[in-house]
Amino acid sequence: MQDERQFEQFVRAGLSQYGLSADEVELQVMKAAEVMYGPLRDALLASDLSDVPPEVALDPSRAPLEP
Amino acid sequence: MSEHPQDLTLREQARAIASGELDPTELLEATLARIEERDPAINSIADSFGNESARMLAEAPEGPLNGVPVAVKDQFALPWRAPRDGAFANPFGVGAGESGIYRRLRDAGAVVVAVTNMHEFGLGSTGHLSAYGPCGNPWDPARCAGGSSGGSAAATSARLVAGAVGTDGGGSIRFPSGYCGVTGLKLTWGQIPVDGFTHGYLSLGTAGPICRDAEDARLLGSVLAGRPLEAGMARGLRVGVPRLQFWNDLDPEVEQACAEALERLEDAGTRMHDASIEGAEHTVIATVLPLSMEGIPSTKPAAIAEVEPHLSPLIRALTKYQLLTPGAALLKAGRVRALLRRSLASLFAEFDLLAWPSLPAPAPPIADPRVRLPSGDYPADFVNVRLGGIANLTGVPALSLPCGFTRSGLPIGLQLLAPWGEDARLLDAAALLEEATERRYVDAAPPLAERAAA
Repeated sequence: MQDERQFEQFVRAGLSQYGLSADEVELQVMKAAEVMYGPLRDALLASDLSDVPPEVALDPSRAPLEP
Repeated sequence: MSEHPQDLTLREQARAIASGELDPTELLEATLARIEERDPAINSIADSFGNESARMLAEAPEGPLNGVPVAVKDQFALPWRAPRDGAFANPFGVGAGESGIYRRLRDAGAVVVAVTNMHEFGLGSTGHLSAYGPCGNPWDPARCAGGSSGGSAAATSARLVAGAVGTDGGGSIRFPSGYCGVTGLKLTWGQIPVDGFTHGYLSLGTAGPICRDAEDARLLGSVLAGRPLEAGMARGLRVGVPRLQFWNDLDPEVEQACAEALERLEDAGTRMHDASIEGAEHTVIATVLPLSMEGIPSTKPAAIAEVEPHLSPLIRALTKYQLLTPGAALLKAGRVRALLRRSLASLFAEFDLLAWPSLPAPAPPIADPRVRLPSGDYPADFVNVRLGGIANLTGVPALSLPCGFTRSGLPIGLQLLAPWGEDARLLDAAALLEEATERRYVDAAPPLAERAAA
Protein backbone atom coordinates (compact mmCIF):
# COMPACT_ATOMS: atom_id res chain seq x y z
CA MET A 1 0.00 0.00 0.00
CA GLN A 2 2.88 2.30 0.91
CA ASP A 3 4.52 1.47 -2.43
CA GLU A 4 1.26 2.19 -4.26
CA ARG A 5 0.95 5.55 -2.57
CA GLN A 6 4.55 6.40 -3.41
CA PHE A 7 3.97 5.35 -7.01
CA GLU A 8 0.87 7.54 -7.23
CA GLN A 9 2.78 10.49 -5.80
CA PHE A 10 5.60 9.88 -8.26
CA VAL A 11 3.18 9.73 -11.19
CA ARG A 12 1.25 12.84 -10.19
CA ALA A 13 4.41 14.84 -9.50
CA GLY A 14 6.09 13.65 -12.69
CA LEU A 15 3.13 14.36 -14.93
CA SER A 16 2.63 17.78 -13.38
CA GLN A 17 6.03 18.73 -14.84
CA TYR A 18 4.37 18.38 -18.23
CA GLY A 19 1.16 20.10 -17.13
CA LEU A 20 -0.64 16.73 -17.20
CA SER A 21 -2.70 14.78 -14.70
CA ALA A 22 -3.92 11.20 -14.45
CA ASP A 23 -7.41 9.99 -13.59
CA GLU A 24 -8.08 6.88 -11.52
CA VAL A 25 -8.37 4.58 -14.52
CA GLU A 26 -5.09 5.84 -15.92
CA LEU A 27 -3.42 5.36 -12.57
CA GLN A 28 -4.60 1.76 -12.43
CA VAL A 29 -3.24 1.12 -15.92
CA MET A 30 0.08 2.70 -14.99
CA LYS A 31 0.28 0.58 -11.84
CA ALA A 32 -0.32 -2.55 -13.89
CA ALA A 33 2.33 -1.49 -16.40
CA GLU A 34 4.73 -0.79 -13.56
CA VAL A 35 4.17 -4.27 -12.13
CA MET A 36 5.07 -5.79 -15.53
CA TYR A 37 7.81 -3.54 -16.79
CA GLY A 38 9.18 -1.91 -13.62
CA PRO A 39 11.28 -4.92 -12.57
CA LEU A 40 12.75 -5.24 -16.07
CA ARG A 41 13.60 -1.53 -16.13
CA ASP A 42 15.14 -1.74 -12.68
CA ALA A 43 17.17 -4.79 -13.67
CA LEU A 44 18.42 -2.90 -16.71
CA LEU A 45 19.32 0.09 -14.56
CA ALA A 46 21.17 -2.22 -12.13
CA SER A 47 23.04 -4.09 -14.85
CA ASP A 48 26.72 -3.48 -15.42
CA LEU A 49 27.12 -2.55 -19.07
CA SER A 50 30.29 -0.56 -18.52
CA ASP A 51 32.28 -3.03 -20.62
CA VAL A 52 29.95 -2.57 -23.61
CA PRO A 53 31.21 0.28 -25.75
CA PRO A 54 28.52 2.48 -27.33
CA GLU A 55 27.97 2.06 -31.04
CA VAL A 56 29.12 5.29 -32.62
CA ALA A 57 27.09 6.39 -35.65
CA LEU A 58 24.48 3.66 -35.31
CA ASP A 59 23.15 2.58 -38.69
CA PRO A 60 20.50 -0.16 -38.32
CA SER A 61 20.61 -0.87 -42.06
CA ARG A 62 23.97 -2.59 -41.76
CA ALA A 63 26.12 -4.59 -39.38
CA PRO A 64 28.12 -2.59 -36.86
CA LEU A 65 31.34 -1.33 -38.37
CA GLU A 66 33.49 -2.01 -35.33
CA PRO A 67 33.93 -5.56 -33.96
CA MET B 1 -11.43 -18.13 -64.78
CA SER B 2 -12.77 -21.02 -62.76
CA GLU B 3 -11.38 -19.78 -59.41
CA HIS B 4 -12.73 -16.67 -57.72
CA PRO B 5 -10.13 -13.99 -58.50
CA GLN B 6 -9.76 -13.17 -54.81
CA ASP B 7 -8.63 -16.74 -54.13
CA LEU B 8 -5.70 -16.36 -56.52
CA THR B 9 -2.33 -15.48 -55.07
CA LEU B 10 -0.90 -12.03 -55.67
CA ARG B 11 1.43 -13.27 -58.43
CA GLU B 12 -1.40 -15.25 -60.06
CA GLN B 13 -3.53 -12.11 -60.13
CA ALA B 14 -0.64 -10.14 -61.67
CA ARG B 15 0.04 -12.83 -64.27
CA ALA B 16 -3.64 -13.24 -65.15
CA ILE B 17 -4.02 -9.49 -65.69
CA ALA B 18 -0.83 -9.31 -67.76
CA SER B 19 -1.98 -12.17 -69.98
CA GLY B 20 -5.43 -10.65 -70.44
CA GLU B 21 -7.07 -13.58 -68.70
CA LEU B 22 -8.36 -11.40 -65.86
CA ASP B 23 -9.96 -7.97 -66.25
CA PRO B 24 -8.49 -5.70 -63.54
CA THR B 25 -11.73 -3.75 -63.29
CA GLU B 26 -13.56 -6.97 -62.46
CA LEU B 27 -10.85 -7.82 -59.96
CA LEU B 28 -11.24 -4.45 -58.26
CA GLU B 29 -15.00 -4.87 -58.10
CA ALA B 30 -14.63 -8.41 -56.76
CA THR B 31 -12.23 -7.13 -54.11
CA LEU B 32 -14.59 -4.41 -52.94
CA ALA B 33 -17.50 -6.89 -52.96
CA ARG B 34 -15.54 -9.39 -50.90
CA ILE B 35 -14.58 -6.73 -48.37
CA GLU B 36 -18.24 -5.86 -48.01
CA GLU B 37 -19.22 -9.51 -47.73
CA ARG B 38 -16.59 -10.85 -45.34
CA ASP B 39 -15.11 -7.97 -43.41
CA PRO B 40 -18.00 -7.35 -41.01
CA ALA B 41 -17.01 -10.58 -39.24
CA ILE B 42 -13.43 -9.47 -38.58
CA ASN B 43 -13.26 -5.66 -38.98
CA SER B 44 -9.89 -5.73 -40.72
CA ILE B 45 -10.62 -2.81 -43.04
CA ALA B 46 -10.64 0.75 -41.71
CA ASP B 47 -11.59 2.37 -44.98
CA SER B 48 -12.11 1.54 -48.65
CA PHE B 49 -12.59 4.02 -51.47
CA GLY B 50 -13.87 2.63 -54.72
CA ASN B 51 -13.68 5.87 -56.68
CA GLU B 52 -10.06 6.62 -55.80
CA SER B 53 -9.07 3.00 -56.42
CA ALA B 54 -10.78 3.06 -59.81
CA ARG B 55 -8.90 6.27 -60.65
CA MET B 56 -5.62 4.63 -59.63
CA LEU B 57 -6.43 1.66 -61.83
CA ALA B 58 -7.25 3.87 -64.80
CA GLU B 59 -3.87 5.58 -64.46
CA ALA B 60 -1.85 2.49 -63.50
CA PRO B 61 1.44 2.19 -65.37
CA GLU B 62 2.85 -1.10 -66.56
CA GLY B 63 4.64 -2.76 -63.69
CA PRO B 64 4.96 -5.96 -61.68
CA LEU B 65 1.67 -5.32 -59.87
CA ASN B 66 -0.24 -3.73 -62.73
CA GLY B 67 -3.93 -3.65 -61.79
CA VAL B 68 -3.49 -5.71 -58.62
CA PRO B 69 -5.36 -4.50 -55.50
CA VAL B 70 -3.39 -4.21 -52.27
CA ALA B 71 -4.26 -2.82 -48.86
CA VAL B 72 -2.05 -0.60 -46.69
CA LYS B 73 -1.86 -0.13 -42.95
CA ASP B 74 -3.37 3.06 -41.50
CA GLN B 75 0.07 4.69 -41.23
CA PHE B 76 0.69 5.94 -44.76
CA ALA B 77 -0.48 9.13 -46.42
CA LEU B 78 -2.58 8.64 -49.53
CA PRO B 79 -3.42 11.55 -51.83
CA TRP B 80 -7.03 11.37 -50.69
CA ARG B 81 -6.60 10.33 -47.06
CA ALA B 82 -4.51 11.21 -44.00
CA PRO B 83 -3.41 8.23 -41.92
CA ARG B 84 -4.97 7.93 -38.47
CA ASP B 85 -2.54 5.48 -36.85
CA GLY B 86 -5.47 3.46 -35.52
CA ALA B 87 -6.69 6.46 -33.55
CA PHE B 88 -9.03 9.42 -33.90
CA ALA B 89 -6.21 11.15 -35.80
CA ASN B 90 -2.45 10.78 -35.97
CA PRO B 91 -0.58 13.16 -33.65
CA PHE B 92 2.43 13.57 -35.95
CA GLY B 93 0.95 16.07 -38.37
CA VAL B 94 1.01 13.63 -41.30
CA GLY B 95 -1.75 14.75 -43.65
CA ALA B 96 -3.09 13.49 -46.96
CA GLY B 97 -0.51 13.27 -49.71
CA GLU B 98 1.80 10.93 -51.59
CA SER B 99 3.74 8.85 -49.06
CA GLY B 100 6.83 7.03 -50.26
CA ILE B 101 5.03 3.70 -49.92
CA TYR B 102 2.11 5.00 -51.99
CA ARG B 103 4.54 6.06 -54.74
CA ARG B 104 6.28 2.68 -54.80
CA LEU B 105 2.94 0.88 -55.09
CA ARG B 106 1.58 3.28 -57.69
CA ASP B 107 4.73 3.13 -59.79
CA ALA B 108 4.51 -0.69 -59.76
CA GLY B 109 0.97 -0.42 -61.15
CA ALA B 110 -0.73 -1.53 -57.94
CA VAL B 111 -4.17 -0.28 -56.87
CA VAL B 112 -4.55 0.75 -53.24
CA VAL B 113 -7.98 -0.64 -52.45
CA ALA B 114 -8.24 -0.23 -48.68
CA VAL B 115 -6.64 1.00 -45.48
CA THR B 116 -6.36 -1.66 -42.81
CA ASN B 117 -7.20 -1.57 -39.12
CA MET B 118 -4.34 -1.44 -36.63
CA HIS B 119 -3.65 -1.32 -32.90
CA GLU B 120 -4.03 2.23 -31.63
CA PHE B 121 -0.78 4.18 -32.25
CA GLY B 122 0.86 0.82 -32.99
CA LEU B 123 1.30 0.32 -29.26
CA GLY B 124 0.27 -3.32 -29.00
CA SER B 125 0.62 -6.79 -30.44
CA THR B 126 -3.03 -7.83 -30.21
CA GLY B 127 -5.07 -5.40 -32.33
CA HIS B 128 -7.93 -5.41 -29.83
CA LEU B 129 -7.61 -1.65 -29.18
CA SER B 130 -8.35 0.61 -32.12
CA ALA B 131 -10.47 3.62 -32.91
CA TYR B 132 -12.08 1.42 -35.56
CA GLY B 133 -12.91 -1.31 -33.03
CA PRO B 134 -11.10 -4.58 -32.40
CA CYS B 135 -9.83 -6.62 -35.33
CA GLY B 136 -10.86 -10.29 -35.28
CA ASN B 137 -8.87 -13.27 -36.43
CA PRO B 138 -10.26 -15.02 -39.54
CA TRP B 139 -9.50 -18.39 -37.91
CA ASP B 140 -11.68 -17.44 -34.93
CA PRO B 141 -13.20 -13.95 -35.01
CA ALA B 142 -13.49 -13.91 -31.20
CA ARG B 143 -9.70 -14.00 -31.02
CA CYS B 144 -7.15 -11.30 -31.73
CA ALA B 145 -5.78 -10.82 -35.22
CA GLY B 146 -2.63 -9.41 -33.66
CA GLY B 147 -0.92 -6.09 -33.84
CA SER B 148 -0.11 -3.72 -34.65
CA SER B 149 -0.58 -4.65 -38.35
CA GLY B 150 -3.56 -6.86 -37.47
CA GLY B 151 -5.86 -5.61 -40.22
CA SER B 152 -3.26 -6.25 -42.92
CA ALA B 153 -2.73 -9.84 -41.75
CA ALA B 154 -6.42 -10.57 -41.19
CA ALA B 155 -7.45 -9.12 -44.58
CA THR B 156 -4.84 -11.24 -46.33
CA SER B 157 -5.73 -14.36 -44.38
CA ALA B 158 -9.46 -13.90 -45.08
CA ARG B 159 -8.61 -13.39 -48.77
CA LEU B 160 -10.05 -9.91 -48.95
CA VAL B 161 -6.78 -8.98 -50.64
CA ALA B 162 -3.89 -11.13 -51.79
CA GLY B 163 -1.33 -8.82 -50.25
CA ALA B 164 -1.08 -5.93 -47.81
CA VAL B 165 1.52 -3.59 -46.40
CA GLY B 166 2.32 -3.72 -42.69
CA THR B 167 4.91 -2.10 -40.47
CA ASP B 168 7.02 -3.58 -37.71
CA GLY B 169 8.65 -1.68 -34.83
CA GLY B 170 8.76 -4.51 -32.28
CA GLY B 171 7.21 -7.45 -34.13
CA SER B 172 4.13 -5.76 -35.63
CA ILE B 173 4.30 -7.59 -38.97
CA ARG B 174 5.42 -10.94 -37.59
CA PHE B 175 2.97 -11.15 -34.66
CA PRO B 176 -0.27 -10.77 -36.66
CA SER B 177 1.17 -12.89 -39.47
CA GLY B 178 1.79 -15.64 -36.93
CA TYR B 179 -1.66 -15.31 -35.39
CA CYS B 180 -3.44 -15.24 -38.77
CA GLY B 181 -1.45 -17.92 -40.62
CA VAL B 182 0.13 -15.74 -43.32
CA THR B 183 3.67 -14.83 -44.34
CA GLY B 184 4.99 -11.49 -43.11
CA LEU B 185 8.40 -10.00 -43.83
CA LYS B 186 10.00 -7.18 -41.86
CA LEU B 187 12.54 -5.81 -44.28
CA THR B 188 16.02 -4.76 -43.27
CA TRP B 189 15.75 -1.30 -41.69
CA GLY B 190 16.17 1.66 -44.02
CA GLN B 191 14.99 0.23 -47.34
CA ILE B 192 11.69 2.03 -47.60
CA PRO B 193 11.05 5.75 -47.99
CA VAL B 194 9.68 7.16 -44.75
CA ASP B 195 7.99 10.32 -46.00
CA GLY B 196 4.27 10.25 -45.29
CA PHE B 197 4.75 7.37 -42.79
CA THR B 198 3.41 8.25 -39.34
CA HIS B 199 6.24 6.33 -37.64
CA GLY B 200 8.95 7.36 -40.08
CA TYR B 201 11.01 8.59 -37.13
CA LEU B 202 11.55 5.05 -35.79
CA SER B 203 15.04 3.63 -35.68
CA LEU B 204 13.41 0.28 -34.90
CA GLY B 205 10.59 0.16 -37.41
CA THR B 206 10.10 -0.40 -41.09
CA ALA B 207 7.46 -1.62 -43.50
CA GLY B 208 7.08 -4.93 -45.24
CA PRO B 209 4.72 -7.23 -47.12
CA ILE B 210 2.09 -9.50 -45.62
CA CYS B 211 1.00 -12.14 -48.10
CA ARG B 212 -0.19 -15.70 -48.26
CA ASP B 213 3.17 -17.26 -49.10
CA ALA B 214 6.84 -16.57 -49.70
CA GLU B 215 6.67 -15.94 -53.44
CA ASP B 216 3.93 -13.35 -53.02
CA ALA B 217 5.95 -11.71 -50.25
CA ARG B 218 8.92 -11.68 -52.63
CA LEU B 219 6.84 -9.88 -55.28
CA LEU B 220 5.34 -7.26 -52.96
CA GLY B 221 8.52 -7.00 -50.90
CA SER B 222 10.57 -6.21 -54.01
CA VAL B 223 8.18 -3.39 -54.87
CA LEU B 224 8.34 -1.96 -51.35
CA ALA B 225 12.12 -2.32 -51.04
CA GLY B 226 12.69 -0.85 -54.49
CA ARG B 227 15.02 -3.69 -55.45
CA PRO B 228 14.47 -7.28 -56.56
CA LEU B 229 14.55 -9.84 -53.76
CA GLU B 230 16.10 -12.48 -56.01
CA ALA B 231 15.34 -16.15 -55.39
CA GLY B 232 18.27 -18.29 -54.29
CA MET B 233 19.04 -21.72 -52.89
CA ALA B 234 18.00 -22.51 -49.32
CA ARG B 235 19.45 -26.02 -49.21
CA GLY B 236 22.68 -26.09 -47.27
CA LEU B 237 21.89 -23.03 -45.17
CA ARG B 238 23.18 -23.13 -41.59
CA VAL B 239 20.47 -22.27 -39.07
CA GLY B 240 21.33 -21.11 -35.54
CA VAL B 241 18.75 -22.15 -32.94
CA PRO B 242 19.00 -20.28 -29.59
CA ARG B 243 17.15 -22.98 -27.66
CA LEU B 244 17.98 -21.76 -24.17
CA GLN B 245 16.89 -18.18 -24.87
CA PHE B 246 13.96 -18.21 -27.29
CA TRP B 247 12.64 -21.76 -27.16
CA ASN B 248 11.70 -21.74 -23.46
CA ASP B 249 8.39 -20.97 -21.74
CA LEU B 250 6.34 -21.63 -24.86
CA ASP B 251 2.85 -23.00 -25.31
CA PRO B 252 3.51 -26.74 -25.84
CA GLU B 253 1.67 -26.87 -29.16
CA VAL B 254 3.63 -23.87 -30.46
CA GLU B 255 6.91 -25.43 -29.38
CA GLN B 256 6.06 -28.75 -31.00
CA ALA B 257 4.92 -27.26 -34.33
CA CYS B 258 7.98 -25.02 -34.59
CA ALA B 259 10.34 -27.88 -33.65
CA GLU B 260 8.72 -30.02 -36.33
CA ALA B 261 9.16 -27.21 -38.85
CA LEU B 262 12.89 -27.18 -38.10
CA GLU B 263 12.96 -30.94 -38.63
CA ARG B 264 11.28 -30.52 -42.02
CA LEU B 265 13.81 -27.83 -42.93
CA GLU B 266 16.63 -30.12 -41.85
CA ASP B 267 15.17 -32.99 -43.88
CA ALA B 268 15.07 -30.60 -46.84
CA GLY B 269 18.80 -29.90 -46.60
CA THR B 270 19.43 -27.13 -44.07
CA ARG B 271 21.64 -27.72 -41.03
CA MET B 272 20.61 -26.87 -37.47
CA HIS B 273 23.08 -25.74 -34.80
CA ASP B 274 22.70 -24.53 -31.22
CA ALA B 275 23.26 -20.79 -30.83
CA SER B 276 23.36 -18.22 -28.05
CA ILE B 277 22.76 -14.45 -28.26
CA GLU B 278 24.68 -12.31 -25.79
CA GLY B 279 22.51 -9.60 -24.20
CA ALA B 280 19.22 -11.32 -25.04
CA GLU B 281 18.04 -11.21 -21.40
CA HIS B 282 17.31 -7.47 -21.72
CA THR B 283 15.45 -7.73 -25.04
CA VAL B 284 11.98 -6.86 -23.71
CA ILE B 285 12.79 -3.64 -21.91
CA ALA B 286 15.44 -2.58 -24.43
CA THR B 287 12.75 -2.80 -27.12
CA VAL B 288 9.81 -1.35 -25.21
CA LEU B 289 11.61 1.79 -24.03
CA PRO B 290 12.76 3.21 -27.38
CA LEU B 291 9.69 1.86 -29.19
CA SER B 292 7.34 3.79 -26.93
CA MET B 293 9.52 6.90 -26.61
CA GLU B 294 11.04 7.52 -30.04
CA GLY B 295 7.82 9.15 -31.18
CA ILE B 296 7.71 11.73 -28.40
CA PRO B 297 9.87 14.35 -30.17
CA SER B 298 7.80 13.92 -33.35
CA THR B 299 4.47 14.41 -31.61
CA LYS B 300 2.83 17.77 -32.14
CA PRO B 301 1.57 19.05 -28.76
CA ALA B 302 -1.54 20.61 -30.28
CA ALA B 303 -2.35 17.40 -32.11
CA ILE B 304 -1.95 15.20 -29.05
CA ALA B 305 -4.23 17.54 -27.11
CA GLU B 306 -6.86 17.07 -29.81
CA VAL B 307 -6.43 13.30 -30.02
CA GLU B 308 -6.03 12.46 -26.33
CA PRO B 309 -9.71 12.65 -25.26
CA HIS B 310 -10.53 10.12 -27.97
CA LEU B 311 -7.88 7.55 -27.03
CA SER B 312 -8.66 4.32 -25.24
CA PRO B 313 -7.93 4.65 -21.49
CA LEU B 314 -5.13 2.09 -21.82
CA ILE B 315 -3.24 3.89 -24.55
CA ARG B 316 -3.92 7.28 -22.94
CA ALA B 317 -2.38 6.00 -19.72
CA LEU B 318 0.61 4.43 -21.47
CA THR B 319 1.39 7.60 -23.41
CA LYS B 320 1.62 9.39 -20.06
CA TYR B 321 3.49 6.58 -18.29
CA GLN B 322 6.24 6.62 -20.91
CA LEU B 323 6.97 10.27 -20.07
CA LEU B 324 8.15 9.12 -16.64
CA THR B 325 10.86 6.74 -17.87
CA PRO B 326 14.28 7.56 -16.42
CA GLY B 327 16.70 8.79 -19.07
CA ALA B 328 19.35 6.44 -17.70
CA ALA B 329 17.18 3.46 -18.63
CA LEU B 330 16.84 4.65 -22.20
CA LEU B 331 20.60 5.15 -22.47
CA LYS B 332 21.25 1.70 -21.04
CA ALA B 333 18.75 0.25 -23.52
CA GLY B 334 20.90 1.81 -26.21
CA ARG B 335 23.91 0.02 -24.82
CA VAL B 336 22.00 -3.30 -24.90
CA ARG B 337 21.19 -2.56 -28.50
CA ALA B 338 24.88 -2.13 -29.29
CA LEU B 339 25.62 -5.42 -27.56
CA LEU B 340 22.88 -7.27 -29.46
CA ARG B 341 23.99 -5.86 -32.81
CA ARG B 342 27.56 -7.03 -32.23
CA SER B 343 26.29 -10.38 -31.00
CA LEU B 344 24.20 -10.93 -34.14
CA ALA B 345 27.02 -9.79 -36.41
CA SER B 346 29.22 -12.40 -34.77
CA LEU B 347 26.55 -15.13 -35.01
CA PHE B 348 25.90 -14.39 -38.67
CA ALA B 349 29.54 -15.11 -39.39
CA GLU B 350 28.71 -18.68 -38.33
CA PHE B 351 25.09 -19.06 -39.40
CA ASP B 352 22.99 -18.00 -42.37
CA LEU B 353 19.73 -17.79 -40.41
CA LEU B 354 18.44 -17.80 -36.86
CA ALA B 355 15.14 -19.48 -35.96
CA TRP B 356 12.61 -19.42 -33.15
CA PRO B 357 8.81 -19.19 -32.83
CA SER B 358 7.08 -16.00 -33.97
CA LEU B 359 4.92 -15.95 -30.85
CA PRO B 360 4.96 -17.89 -27.58
CA ALA B 361 1.27 -18.84 -27.79
CA PRO B 362 -1.62 -18.80 -30.28
CA ALA B 363 -3.98 -15.85 -30.66
CA PRO B 364 -5.67 -14.89 -27.35
CA PRO B 365 -9.35 -13.93 -26.98
CA ILE B 366 -10.25 -10.32 -27.79
CA ALA B 367 -12.20 -10.16 -24.54
CA ASP B 368 -9.13 -11.08 -22.48
CA PRO B 369 -5.89 -10.84 -24.48
CA ARG B 370 -3.79 -12.92 -22.14
CA VAL B 371 -1.90 -16.07 -22.97
CA ARG B 372 -1.12 -19.15 -20.89
CA LEU B 373 2.49 -20.26 -20.76
CA PRO B 374 4.14 -22.94 -18.62
CA SER B 375 5.30 -20.26 -16.16
CA GLY B 376 1.86 -18.61 -15.84
CA ASP B 377 -0.68 -16.33 -17.50
CA TYR B 378 0.52 -13.04 -19.03
CA PRO B 379 -0.75 -10.14 -21.14
CA ALA B 380 0.14 -11.16 -24.70
CA ASP B 381 2.04 -7.90 -25.33
CA PHE B 382 4.44 -8.57 -22.48
CA VAL B 383 5.57 -11.99 -23.70
CA ASN B 384 5.36 -11.39 -27.44
CA VAL B 385 7.98 -8.66 -27.54
CA ARG B 386 10.56 -11.05 -26.08
CA LEU B 387 10.48 -12.96 -29.39
CA GLY B 388 10.00 -10.00 -31.70
CA GLY B 389 12.27 -7.24 -30.42
CA ILE B 390 15.73 -8.42 -31.43
CA ALA B 391 15.16 -7.98 -35.15
CA ASN B 392 14.06 -4.39 -34.49
CA LEU B 393 16.86 -3.51 -32.12
CA THR B 394 19.46 -4.82 -34.53
CA GLY B 395 17.82 -3.82 -37.84
CA VAL B 396 18.07 -7.27 -39.44
CA PRO B 397 15.27 -8.65 -41.63
CA ALA B 398 12.90 -11.18 -40.09
CA LEU B 399 9.97 -13.21 -41.30
CA SER B 400 7.07 -15.16 -39.87
CA LEU B 401 5.70 -18.06 -41.86
CA PRO B 402 2.86 -20.45 -41.05
CA CYS B 403 4.10 -23.83 -39.82
CA GLY B 404 1.19 -25.53 -38.10
CA PHE B 405 -2.09 -25.37 -36.24
CA THR B 406 -3.17 -25.97 -32.68
CA ARG B 407 -5.70 -28.72 -32.00
CA SER B 408 -8.35 -26.00 -31.87
CA GLY B 409 -7.36 -24.82 -35.35
CA LEU B 410 -5.36 -21.66 -34.63
CA PRO B 411 -2.30 -20.91 -36.78
CA ILE B 412 1.26 -21.18 -35.48
CA GLY B 413 4.18 -19.22 -36.96
CA LEU B 414 7.91 -19.87 -37.19
CA GLN B 415 10.24 -16.88 -37.21
CA LEU B 416 13.47 -16.63 -39.19
CA LEU B 417 16.10 -13.88 -39.03
CA ALA B 418 18.85 -13.20 -41.58
CA PRO B 419 21.82 -10.83 -41.76
CA TRP B 420 21.39 -7.20 -42.81
CA GLY B 421 20.37 -6.96 -46.47
CA GLU B 422 19.75 -10.70 -46.86
CA ASP B 423 15.96 -10.33 -46.93
CA ALA B 424 15.66 -12.68 -49.90
CA ARG B 425 17.31 -15.51 -47.99
CA LEU B 426 14.36 -15.55 -45.59
CA LEU B 427 11.99 -16.02 -48.51
CA ASP B 428 14.16 -18.81 -49.92
CA ALA B 429 14.00 -20.66 -46.60
CA ALA B 430 10.25 -20.04 -46.29
CA ALA B 431 9.70 -21.41 -49.80
CA LEU B 432 11.75 -24.48 -48.89
CA LEU B 433 9.57 -25.12 -45.84
CA GLU B 434 6.42 -24.63 -47.91
CA GLU B 435 7.68 -27.27 -50.33
CA ALA B 436 8.73 -29.61 -47.52
CA THR B 437 5.25 -29.38 -45.97
CA GLU B 438 3.46 -29.66 -49.32
CA ARG B 439 2.08 -26.13 -48.84
CA ARG B 440 -0.49 -27.41 -46.35
CA TYR B 441 -0.14 -24.38 -44.07
CA VAL B 442 0.11 -21.58 -46.63
CA ASP B 443 -2.75 -22.90 -48.74
CA ALA B 444 -5.12 -23.52 -45.83
CA ALA B 445 -8.11 -21.18 -45.88
CA PRO B 446 -9.64 -20.00 -42.61
CA PRO B 447 -13.15 -21.11 -41.65
CA LEU B 448 -14.41 -17.62 -42.46
CA ALA B 449 -13.41 -18.12 -46.10
CA GLU B 450 -14.73 -21.66 -46.26
CA ARG B 451 -18.09 -20.71 -44.77
CA ALA B 452 -18.46 -17.86 -47.22
CA ALA B 453 -17.62 -20.13 -50.15
CA ALA B 454 -20.12 -22.82 -49.09
